[in-house]
Amino acid sequence: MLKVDNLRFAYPNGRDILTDVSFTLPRGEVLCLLGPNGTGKTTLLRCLLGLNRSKGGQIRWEEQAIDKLSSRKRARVMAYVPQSSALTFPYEVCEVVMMGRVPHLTYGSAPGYADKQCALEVLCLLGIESMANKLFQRLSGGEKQLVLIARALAQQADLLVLDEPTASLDFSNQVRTLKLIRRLADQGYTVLMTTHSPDQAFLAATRVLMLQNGVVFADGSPDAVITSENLSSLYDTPAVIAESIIVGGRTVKVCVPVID
Amino acid sequence: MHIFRSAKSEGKSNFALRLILLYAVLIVCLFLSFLVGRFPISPYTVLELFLSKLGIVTPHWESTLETVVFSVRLPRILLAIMVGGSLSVSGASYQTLFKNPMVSPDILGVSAGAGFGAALAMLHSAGWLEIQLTALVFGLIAVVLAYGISYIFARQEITIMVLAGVVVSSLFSALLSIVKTLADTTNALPSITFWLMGSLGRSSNDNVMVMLPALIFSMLLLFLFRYQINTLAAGEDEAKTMGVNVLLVKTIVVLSSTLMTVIAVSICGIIGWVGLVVPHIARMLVGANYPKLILTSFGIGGIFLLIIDNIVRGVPGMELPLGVLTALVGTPVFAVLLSRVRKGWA
Repeated sequence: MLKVDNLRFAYPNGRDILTDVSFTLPRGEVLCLLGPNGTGKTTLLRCLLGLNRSKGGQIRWEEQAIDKLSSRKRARVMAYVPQSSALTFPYEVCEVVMMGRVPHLTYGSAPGYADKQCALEVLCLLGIESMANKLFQRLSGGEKQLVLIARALAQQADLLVLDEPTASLDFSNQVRTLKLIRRLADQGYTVLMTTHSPDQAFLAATRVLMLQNGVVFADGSPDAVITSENLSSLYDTPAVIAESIIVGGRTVKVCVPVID
Repeated sequence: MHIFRSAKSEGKSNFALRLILLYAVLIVCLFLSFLVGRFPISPYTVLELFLSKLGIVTPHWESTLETVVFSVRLPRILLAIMVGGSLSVSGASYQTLFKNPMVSPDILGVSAGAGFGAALAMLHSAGWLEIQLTALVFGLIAVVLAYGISYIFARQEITIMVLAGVVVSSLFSALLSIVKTLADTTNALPSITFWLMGSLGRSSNDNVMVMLPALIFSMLLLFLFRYQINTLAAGEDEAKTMGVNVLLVKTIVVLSSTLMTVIAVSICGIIGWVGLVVPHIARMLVGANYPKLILTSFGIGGIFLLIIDNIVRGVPGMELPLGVLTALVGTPVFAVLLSRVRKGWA
C-alpha cells in the first residue's frame, strides 16, 4: 500500500505548490490523478519519484519510508513512465528496455542472462518482441509509449507511476494503453497515473484523486468522485456526466462539457 | 520468444566480431607505423628488434637503429593511439552525458585553459617539461572553474554546465590573446602558434609513462560505470528514476574525461575534431549503447590519429601540423556523416 501523509512542497522562496496532501493507494489499484494545469499533479509525481525534495510529510510503501531510500533502492520499488523520452542517439528498443535493469546491477557488472530474460518477458507481455532490434527514434508515438512502459516493467517494481500516458496518443492507442494499465493492475501492479481526461478515469481507474491548488479536492471511487458538481468546480467549467447503456447491459459514463 | 534471443545474441556476436576486426586493424596499423619515417627500416628488422627485447634474437645491428625504433617511433606511435583513443572516448562520454551530438572533449574549457598555460610558459621561455606542466595545471583550472560555476549556481544543471564551459573557454582565449600580443615575434609567438596546432613530434617514453596510467585509470572508471552512464542518455530525471546516482555518475564522467584530455593536450597541444567526429563514426558501426560505444570509439580514434600522424611523419615535405590535418580530414568525414543523418544520428 502506498501511503502519503501531509506531503508539502514548495520551490525555494516560493509559495507552496502542494499543501498537506494525504492519500492511500492499496496494492493492485489504479489511481487516476485529476486536476487543472498547474495544480501540482506533476509536482506530486516528482515528489513520489524523488525528483523533488518535499518540504514535509511522509511517503511510505508497505510501511517503508520511500523518501529515505537511495535512488537505486527506490527504483526497485517504483518505476516511472514519462510522457515521452527524447533519446538523441540511435538506441535499439532492447537497449532502451535494458536500461530498466540498471537498478538491479552493481557497479561494474554487465546485465546477465537473467536480466536479458526479464527484458524479453516484458517485451512479450506487451506483445512488442518483434520491435526488439528497431531503433527507438523511428517508432510511432504509441509504440514509444509501449517501449517506455516495458522499460518501467523491466525494473520489476510494484508501483508504476505514469505521467499522462495517453496525452499524445491517437484514439485506438489511448484505448490500448488504458487496457494495458488495467491488465497490469490485475497482475498485481499498483498504478498511479495522471490524465487530463476524466473519461479515462471511468475506463481504467479504481480510485480518483482530485487535486486543486495543491490540496486534495476529492478522493474516492470514480463513480463517487467524478460528479458534475465536482468536475464543474474542479476545472471551473460547467460539465455533466452522461450515462448510457451499451452492449451487454454495461453502463458507461462520459463527461460532457456544457457549451452555451 | 526466441526471436528476441536470437536477434540479441546475433547482435552481440556481430558486435564482438566488429570489435575484434577493429582492434586487428589497429594492431596492423601499429606495426606498419614503425616503417614510416625518414630512416628506412624493413618490416623484418622491426620484428627482429622486438624479438631481441624478448631475448629470442641476439642483436646484430647498430644502436642507432634501436634508438630510432624504441625511443623515437615507439613512444610516438603509442601516444598517437592513446591520445586519439582518449579524445574519442571523452567525446563519446560527453556526448552521451550532455545528450548532444555537437559536444567535444574541450566543452568544459580544457583546451582553452591548457593553451593559455602553455603560451604563458613559452612567453617566459620555459623548458618543455614546464610547458607541459603549466598546460596541465591551467587545463585543470579551466575545468574546475566551469564545473564550479555550474555547481554553485545550478547544481550541475546540464545546460548551465555547457554554458559555463563556453564562458570559461572565452575567458582563457582572451587571456591567450593577451599573451600572444606580449610574446616576441621571433621566438615565443611562432612556438605558441605551432603548439596550438598540435604535434606528436616531441613524444618521449616519459610522456607515455604519464599518459598510460591516466588512460588506464580513466577508462577503468568509465567502464565500471558504463551502464549507469548509458541511462543518462535518457535524461537526468529518467536516469534518477532508474536508480542512478546522477551526481556521482556525472562527476565520474567529467573527472575521467578531463584527466585523459588534459594530459593528452598538455603532451601534444590542441588536436581538434577527433573527439567530435570519431564517436559518430563509432555509432554508425555499433549503435549508441554506451558500453559498446567507448570500446569502439577508442579503437577508431587510435587508428584515426595514428594514420594522420603517419602522414605527418611519412610524407616528404609535409609541413602541416597534426591539428590542421585532423581538421582537414575531419571536415569531409563530418560532411559525409551529416548527409547520412536522417532521423536522429543513425
